[in-house]
Amino acid sequence: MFPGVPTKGRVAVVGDDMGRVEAFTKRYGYEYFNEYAPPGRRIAATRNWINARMDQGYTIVDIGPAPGRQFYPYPTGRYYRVELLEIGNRNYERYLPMWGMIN
Amino acid sequence: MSIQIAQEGDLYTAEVTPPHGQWRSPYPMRAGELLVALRSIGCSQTDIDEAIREVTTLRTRRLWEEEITPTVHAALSGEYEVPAQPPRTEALLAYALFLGESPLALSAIVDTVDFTYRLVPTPDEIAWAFLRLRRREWLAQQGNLYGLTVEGRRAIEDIVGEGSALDRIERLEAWTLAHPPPGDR
Repeated sequence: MFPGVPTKGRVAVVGDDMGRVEAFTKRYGYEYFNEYAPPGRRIAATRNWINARMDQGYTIVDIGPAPGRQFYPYPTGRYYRVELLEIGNRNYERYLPMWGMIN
Repeated sequence: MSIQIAQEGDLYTAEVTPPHGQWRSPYPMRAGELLVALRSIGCSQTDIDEAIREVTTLRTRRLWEEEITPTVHAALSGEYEVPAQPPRTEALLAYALFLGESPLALSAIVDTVDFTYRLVPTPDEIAWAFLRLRRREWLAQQGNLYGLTVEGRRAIEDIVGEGSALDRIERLEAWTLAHPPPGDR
């Protein structure tokens, strides 16, 4: 992890495009969303996943929207936006935004 | 629906009717602010989720109708030559079709890609992937619904094996890279 950022060893990564997220997490051994849910259960599954990480005190690293996607520099994906809403609603203190730093 | 959410640009308004109570947002709010307000008046998260799903579906439906569907149709009928797209695109779309038990509308396919891979494919990416899947004789089309042929489903099942969604997509991507569709060599 970056010097000076306390993580207690538990870090989850969010962002548009799992190709970016996975590449980043594999370098450090962090967690990322990797589940399946049927239509109709997907918002709840996303919300449950990110809230469970926050309940457990994870540091949430947000690598941000993916360059080149439709709404860049804003988030494009619906489920990534759900994660951001949940983080914002809790005003989560262990949230580490890194928008624009990871291609 | 007892919660109706409407979008105005980046802001949202909501109206709650019985049995959840009687409430109307006093002004257009940011999404997070509206969620807090709905929770504070006792709306369940399940009902809020459903209302959000409705409004985002409405917003994206216009995109399907105006951009994605015509591009895919034009590409599949040969009227539009789609530029090459990132190689993983074929695997992402193929895996989304694989997860569908029956033929799916484009909106459902895109939703699955967004959920599993946190990526919303562009019209060109969808069209390019579908053309490649059709050349493999894996793509089945019924009007505006898309699925896999029996051969396609069987082949993907063998390729992806067991494991997480991302592991399976990775295997499928590796396979599609090593085995270009006919006419692509």
